[in-house]
Amino acid sequence: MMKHFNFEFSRMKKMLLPLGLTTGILQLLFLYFFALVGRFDASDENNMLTSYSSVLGLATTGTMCVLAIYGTVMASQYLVRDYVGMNKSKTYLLPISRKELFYTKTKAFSAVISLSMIVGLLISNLVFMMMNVIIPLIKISPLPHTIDVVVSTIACICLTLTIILFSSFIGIKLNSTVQGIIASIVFVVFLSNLSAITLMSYEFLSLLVAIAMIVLVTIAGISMGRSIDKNEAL
Amino acid sequence: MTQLKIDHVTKSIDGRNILRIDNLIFKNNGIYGLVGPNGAGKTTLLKCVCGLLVPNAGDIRIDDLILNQETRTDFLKKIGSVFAQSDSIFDLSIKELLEEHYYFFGLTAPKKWSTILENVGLDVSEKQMIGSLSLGMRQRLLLAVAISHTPEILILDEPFNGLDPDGVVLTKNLIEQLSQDKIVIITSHSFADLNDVITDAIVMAKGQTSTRKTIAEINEEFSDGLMGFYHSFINSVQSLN
Repeated sequence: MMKHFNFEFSRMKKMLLPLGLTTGILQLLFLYFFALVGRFDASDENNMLTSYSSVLGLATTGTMCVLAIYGTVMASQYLVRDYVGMNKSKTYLLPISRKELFYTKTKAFSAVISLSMIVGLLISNLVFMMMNVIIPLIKISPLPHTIDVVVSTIACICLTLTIILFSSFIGIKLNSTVQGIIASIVFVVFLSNLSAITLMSYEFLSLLVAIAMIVLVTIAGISMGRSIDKNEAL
Repeated sequence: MTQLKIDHVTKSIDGRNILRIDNLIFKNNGIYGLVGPNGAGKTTLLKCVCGLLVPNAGDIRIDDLILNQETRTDFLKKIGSVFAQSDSIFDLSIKELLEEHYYFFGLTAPKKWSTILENVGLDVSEKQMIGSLSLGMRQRLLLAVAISHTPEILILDEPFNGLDPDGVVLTKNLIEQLSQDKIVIITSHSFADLNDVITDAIVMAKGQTSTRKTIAEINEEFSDGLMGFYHSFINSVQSLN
């Protein structure tokens, strides 16, 4: 099983750099955007943007929204496409349990997404904190805010992965890569508000919600694998 | 001696009966041509043999191994196939496609992939993307992939499609070489090409199959050879319905 995982991971690892770079650049841009809005707009509505936790929550939500859609586009290329239309025949002709292959591909894809996001988010947040020492934009308390970064990073990865995988499963179920991408946009619209509010004000709740979502998507993945095992390539 | 047996297999899709086969036996050293009009059930039958479709009733077996969900993996190791090309391979390089095939079939990768490609007359770089190859070149590549694990049964669905005259000759020669210790099943609408390579022919119409006849028997029985056999069976099926 691990051998298959390594093989699939090696085929997907070319996504690591573009995904990691996109994550890092987006997070940094969003952090500066919201920090600058909070610094230069003194209106009451934007008062909350003077808090690093709020800026981090909003920036992480922004990054999650873009990455969820970008990740689903990647998933449609590396995962969904093997299970739709005539491509199913090629996948199903490989002499390996279809269920096992699907789980391996999904795990390898999830690992690539998670790894690139961890690196991208942590580096960009670290860069922002260090730059804030040189050019202060916002007040940052090192220890509590480091915990904020870790919690929001985990929550962001879990939520992004959940959206990507649910959308991919919908794409496979509906036999269309495009439907999967549309599903990801719908999920982003519904989840972005929830994510922004919880990440800004109730970080640990967002972490719990994100972990619950991962459990749900895992159950959906197991069910998808079983259905693929019995599926036909018409 | 390998035998592929298809026994009382039926398959219906969306309430329509696509296949109704009583009994078919394929033995090795034979090149079997499966001919029939569009929608006759040829590809459905081949997909059933590969486990891509599950029959509603009946058995498909290679020697003593009956095809089912548990034995599907072992079954697939014995089969090499070329079906209609999927677009998921277009973004892969030739090397990536071969690496995947060799990995899952548990084969040792050669030092140079070019040796595999030369077998089917392909003179291209292994780094070339499959999407940039012509239809005929892709057919040759898929044939190279299908035969790479030395399968006992080779299934070729329209293998002459898109091939230039040299490609057709090369494919025919390859099929003849490969049939020495294999069962080769070919579907094609090109009777001229089939006539040159097949040893036996089976006509399919409305999901039913004719009795298997050797090319010698067909030429003896029908003045216009394979075409006569084809029309004779189709007429008999139509008159029955």
